[in-house]
Amino acid sequence: MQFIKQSARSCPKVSLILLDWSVRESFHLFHYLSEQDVDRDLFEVIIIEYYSRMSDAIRLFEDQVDSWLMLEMPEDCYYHKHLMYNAGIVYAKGDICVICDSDAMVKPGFIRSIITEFESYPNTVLHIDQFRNSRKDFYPFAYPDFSEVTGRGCSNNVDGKTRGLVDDRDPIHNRNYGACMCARRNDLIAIGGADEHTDYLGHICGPYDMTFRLVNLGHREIWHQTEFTYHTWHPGQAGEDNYLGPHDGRHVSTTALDALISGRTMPLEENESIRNIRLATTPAQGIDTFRIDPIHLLAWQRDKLCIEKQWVAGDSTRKVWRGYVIDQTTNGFVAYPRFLEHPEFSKFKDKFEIHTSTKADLYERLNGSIPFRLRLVFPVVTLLTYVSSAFGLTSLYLRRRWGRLTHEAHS
Amino acid sequence: MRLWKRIATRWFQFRGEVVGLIRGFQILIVNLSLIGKLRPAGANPITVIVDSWREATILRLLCFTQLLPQHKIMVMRRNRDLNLFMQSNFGNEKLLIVTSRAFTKHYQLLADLRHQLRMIVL
Repeated sequence: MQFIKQSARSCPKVSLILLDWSVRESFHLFHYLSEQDVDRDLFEVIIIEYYSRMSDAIRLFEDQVDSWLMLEMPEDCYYHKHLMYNAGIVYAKGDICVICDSDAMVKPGFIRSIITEFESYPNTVLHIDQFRNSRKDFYPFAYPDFSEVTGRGCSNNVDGKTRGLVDDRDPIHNRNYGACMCARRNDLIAIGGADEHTDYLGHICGPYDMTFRLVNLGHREIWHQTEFTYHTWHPGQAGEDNYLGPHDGRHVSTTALDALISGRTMPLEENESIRNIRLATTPAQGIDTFRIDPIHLLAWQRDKLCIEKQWVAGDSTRKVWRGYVIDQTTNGFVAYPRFLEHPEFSKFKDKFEIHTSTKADLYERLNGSIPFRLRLVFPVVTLLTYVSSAFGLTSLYLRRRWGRLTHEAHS
Repeated sequence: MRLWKRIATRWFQFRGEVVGLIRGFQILIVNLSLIGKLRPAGANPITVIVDSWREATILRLLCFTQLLPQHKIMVMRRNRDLNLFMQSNFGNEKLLIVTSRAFTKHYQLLADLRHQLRMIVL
């Protein structure tokens, strides 16, 4: 690990944490940061590079970079964004940490809006949504106008707001949780920082893991209603050919969703340096301030994630099978119905818990514990779900097609 | 080739989503049937919140055919669909069951209820 550059700003209010894992082609966010309408000393910019590449795209804007840290992870180690978040949180000097896309456009009032929002609502986690344009002629990036990005080709502009903000049916999938997340550094440390669990390795990850745990801690999640970031198309933006950890079919981590559902506030794997700061243990100084668990170097090796050049789908460590949670213990397996996780019902654990030594035994006993009539219902439910989902998708497609046709006819 | 890749991607996405829906529904019905065994006969029905009319219809059918005990089923597709704070104790049971999908879709509204009610997220 080494610093290319270290921040000289004494007390910024905001620390922007930008990530790279030797893939980013453009850091045009810096151009927009240089046009902010607040004093430059109010914010600092921290770049975390996962491997050892000194990016030419960053060199172009070097005067805008305050801290530039290379984690120097081995090339055979797959990228883990949460490790980079933690490095950023540890070295941030600002009261507010902002994790955002380094290839997004922001308006001159971006930093001011964040500061104002936290002054008005201190106990919050703030998100800023993103307008996304899929026009391929915006690549390579040539500084288009904001109105061009929200115009033709923009997939989520609804009367000047993002579709996710307007439609509250499914915010987790409609809003861009990874576009920009802002939280107080002290709050992030109180929840143990970002989770370094293997489930978040690769593309299925994001600052929403921390958002959910902050909400569980009692913080209010706020989405800015007037400030947005703007993103133009570039190759590989949807994480194609990346390793994917366990997700819900729409690229939201099921481990993060589990944390939200269960009310968990601490990470499954906490970074040692974050823990030291949280417990006020005397931290190491200088470059040693941030420590990387050596076990990660082995566990995150590319070879362990793929078989013959094919990624092996990430599997969640906590299995749920037909309503039963399955945990692996040193003696075998334990399964219990999910409702027993609620404290009101934990007294019934002895009645419903199933202990077995082998997996086959476990599934046999689980099958036996579900009433026969209910088991007969499962295939019917499966069929109905497939049919109704296909019907819903078809009608949505036809409605959109019809909407486009009528729109074209009008115009 | 690109078209095939797009079709394959869409199919995997669709299948992933449907498998998630099926798993979620299995969790709900198995747990509801087990909770039903713990409750005394004649107790007030428990309130269940789901996020789709499809799930609500299947649940009602299962209750009607007595495969599951009677439940009060509510559908919450949008935040404004249900004024949760107006529901008095959810049928005097003070027990509310929310599917994990409904909870994650409306967690900004439901997270606070976790501290006030006996709310189980399945």
